[in-house]
Amino acid sequence: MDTPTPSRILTRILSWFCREDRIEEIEGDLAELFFERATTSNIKKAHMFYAWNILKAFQWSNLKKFTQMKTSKGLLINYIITSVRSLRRNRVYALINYFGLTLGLSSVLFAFIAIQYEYSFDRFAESDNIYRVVLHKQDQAKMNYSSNVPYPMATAIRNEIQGAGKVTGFHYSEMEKVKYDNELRYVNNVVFADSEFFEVLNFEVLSGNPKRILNSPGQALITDEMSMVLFGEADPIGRIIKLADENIEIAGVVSSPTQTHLDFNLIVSYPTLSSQFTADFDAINSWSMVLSGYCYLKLPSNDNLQSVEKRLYQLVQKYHEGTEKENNNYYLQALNDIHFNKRYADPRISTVSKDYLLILSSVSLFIMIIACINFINLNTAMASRRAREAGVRKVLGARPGQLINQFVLESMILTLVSLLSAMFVTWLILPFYNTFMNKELVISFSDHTFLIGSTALFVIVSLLAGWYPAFMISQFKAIRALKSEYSSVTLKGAGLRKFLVSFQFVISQIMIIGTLIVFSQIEFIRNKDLGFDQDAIITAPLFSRDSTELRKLKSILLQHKDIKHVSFGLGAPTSNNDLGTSFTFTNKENLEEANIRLKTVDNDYMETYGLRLLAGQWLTSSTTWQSKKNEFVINESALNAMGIENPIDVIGQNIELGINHMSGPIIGVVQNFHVRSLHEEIPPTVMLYFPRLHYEAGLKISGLNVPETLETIESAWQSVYPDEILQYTFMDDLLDQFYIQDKKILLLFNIFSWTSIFIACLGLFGLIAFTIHQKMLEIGIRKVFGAKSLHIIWILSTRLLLLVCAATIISFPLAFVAMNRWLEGFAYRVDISPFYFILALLITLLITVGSVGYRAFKASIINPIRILRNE
Amino acid sequence: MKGTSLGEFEELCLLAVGILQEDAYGVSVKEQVEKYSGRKSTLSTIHSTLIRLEKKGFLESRMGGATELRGGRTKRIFRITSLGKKSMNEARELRSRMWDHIPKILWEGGAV
Repeated sequence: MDTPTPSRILTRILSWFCREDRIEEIEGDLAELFFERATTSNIKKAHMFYAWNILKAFQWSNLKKFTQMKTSKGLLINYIITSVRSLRRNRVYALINYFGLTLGLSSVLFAFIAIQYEYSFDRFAESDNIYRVVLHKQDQAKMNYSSNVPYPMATAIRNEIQGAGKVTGFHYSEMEKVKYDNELRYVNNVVFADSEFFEVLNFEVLSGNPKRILNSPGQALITDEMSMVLFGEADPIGRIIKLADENIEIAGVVSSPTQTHLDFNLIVSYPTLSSQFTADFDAINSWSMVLSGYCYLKLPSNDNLQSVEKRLYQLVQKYHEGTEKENNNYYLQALNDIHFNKRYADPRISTVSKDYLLILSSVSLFIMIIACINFINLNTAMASRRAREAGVRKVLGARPGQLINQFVLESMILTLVSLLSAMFVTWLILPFYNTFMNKELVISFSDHTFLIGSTALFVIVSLLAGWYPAFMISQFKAIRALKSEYSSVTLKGAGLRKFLVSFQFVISQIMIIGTLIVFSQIEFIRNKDLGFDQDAIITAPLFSRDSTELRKLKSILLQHKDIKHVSFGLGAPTSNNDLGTSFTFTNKENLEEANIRLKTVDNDYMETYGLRLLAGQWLTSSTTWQSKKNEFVINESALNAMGIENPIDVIGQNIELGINHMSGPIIGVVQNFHVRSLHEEIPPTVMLYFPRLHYEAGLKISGLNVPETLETIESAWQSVYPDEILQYTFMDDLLDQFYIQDKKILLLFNIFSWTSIFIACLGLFGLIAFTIHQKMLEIGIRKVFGAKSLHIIWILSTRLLLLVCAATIISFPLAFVAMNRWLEGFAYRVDISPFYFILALLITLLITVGSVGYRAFKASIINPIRILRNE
Repeated sequence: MKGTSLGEFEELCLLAVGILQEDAYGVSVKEQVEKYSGRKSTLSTIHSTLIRLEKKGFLESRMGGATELRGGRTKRIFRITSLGKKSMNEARELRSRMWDHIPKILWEGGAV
């Protein structure tokens, strides 16, 4: 057993406040007590006791003597009073700063919580040692990545690889039919796991012996939540449910998994798994068929990683056959990587890319910086107002350091108030974000990292925003200050302000360009021709592959006048429902092979979805219902893969598929349609009639009398499948699912960029108000000499407009690089045209004129007598 | 005489240091005090008391005796000074003198 050590952070806190000459013995004594506690009672208590002792050691006599603490109490109170007074006197500016800081701090807090949430995924015991076996499969075109591995993998690793530690293999089913008490339900996420499942992934078992249950056929563990759904409050143990055709006894309860990529409701023992759960494929003992099998292992030490991966390669050589020997390879993916890595992810698992988190954190930091810039700008601009106060303090003996303290304290007060409001704002925002992004973020004020984080944020922001203005004021010469020689005109800092304002513009412009491009890309996707007709199509799952039942269903449906076509197949043209395999063809008398997607269809598929035929013909009804002969229709990508230009030339050529070595002629070529989302290129695709894989019906409806049509569909399903529940989807909704993540990011982008622009505007508004206030005399004199209003507005705003233009030098290239990178995630994308950049420039100019204009206009129409009378 | 008087807890600590002789430091003093008085005390209370006693001149201290159990840190080992001995004696005498003046009958006779 490792000897426990007292928390290092706590020890550091002690050394931070404790006097040097005392620290040695106190640390020693505390450590001694800690070890005594740790041995006599448990470690957790010892830690708590240690923390408590450290807290108690925080005594006056133990404290370090801080030099800065010499500021007397009376002076401190005086500082606070003057700070509050000055904030109240310059109410508008204080409010601008307050709003800016609150928004900035809220966005940082929010990003902090969001990122902390994402990093708290998949926390198991020893999660650093847990790995998932992943498959890299090479084909001519590219490398294919998958987290699914052959089912015998786990056993092979367990028996043949030493030093692999604990190994578990399981089958993961997205949905299974469960019958209990004569009531039929679909249960999502059913795992068929072997007995070491819980030793690798220590989900919390509430009752039952998981090892024994997972070894016995026909037994299962249920989550507490699912148990509530199925059995209510009653004890689930010993109850029998029917899973597909198996009777399953519930023998244990697990607590519902939270924050993990591996969500489940039911864990059935692996011996229960039979081919009825794997689409009737004999995949359970096959190395060549990869369906939904997974393999996880917990290494005894990460030093074994490379040797285990090497041994995995030997498994490939031993068990795989043919080309798979060379093309397949297995690697280990760290558990901590799963939540962030899209490469191996199934479509059903939502991963979060680290890029997104990076964008989120940098955008929120930018907003914070914009708010800080406002603070610096306004305070340096207004420094002249405080010059006299600083002068008097100096005459009375204040040193520059003390003045800095005073003004930093002022910024601290404002920051503290803003921070508290920001916490409140974040607390208000989180529920919206949660429903919107389907997450479960909470703001927890008792969380250590949150508290330490917000304290750090408080200190950093108040120093960042407050230090420079404070420093500037502290450098005033007392005599000049008292003679009122400091005005905003003579003050330094104007250059800095210009720089900071242009920096704000840079950020705003990048965000505007980003938003514009994201928006147009998403519009592009939504309006892109997918190569088939997506309107008025309903899809619904089929529950059997029995041809008489299917024929009956089709005939019932077609009787209704608003149902135009009915087609059965593996899935809609754009969907995740297809099979990956390869096909061989003769190219100039050489036998070649290419990877393809396989879609099973029927004779009505083309008309239902409006696919466009380029050459040959579609599968006819005579070939479909009866014949044993295979005929294929391919798409343009497959044509290209075969190296043939003219579609006519390919008609009649024989090809052979990787699955079951089916061979036959190509009878038709269709125009490319999008097989997957627009994130991916259109893969070579082969379509054939293969009723064993008919899992989905597609219905083309007229679009009239929709409710009535839906009723007909439901009753048709009811009459053919009395034991099932129909779940239909409209094609448009289905397609939207593919881009929902992008849309959400767009909205977030929008919110963030408008927030940043809003804060920047606030700052500009304050700055211009102040400049005008200072330039009143100049404006008055100019008016007396006959300047027009427009001319005065021009004088007041040209500088800012120039800054806006100057900012583009930096913002344009940065935005270009960033957006180019984002667009690379789409196989089909918009071009980055100069239009977006010009538009962004115009928007920022407009916003500047908007926030400056009103004030400038008011200043320009003022009667000069009112200004000059007092002089 | 301000500064030389002994508080009750201070006296306990002094006595504990006396018992422990060469091995008197924070934790051991705490153990002794708890052992004899039967009441819980926290380390920081013991610490501040020992340091107060040192300031008053009743104790003197030196650093030494690092052990692994303490993460290699040394102890502050306390010893009673002659002034400390004197004031302990005074305290004891003061008590016995006052004890002598309690009327025996009253005390041993129980209820008045």
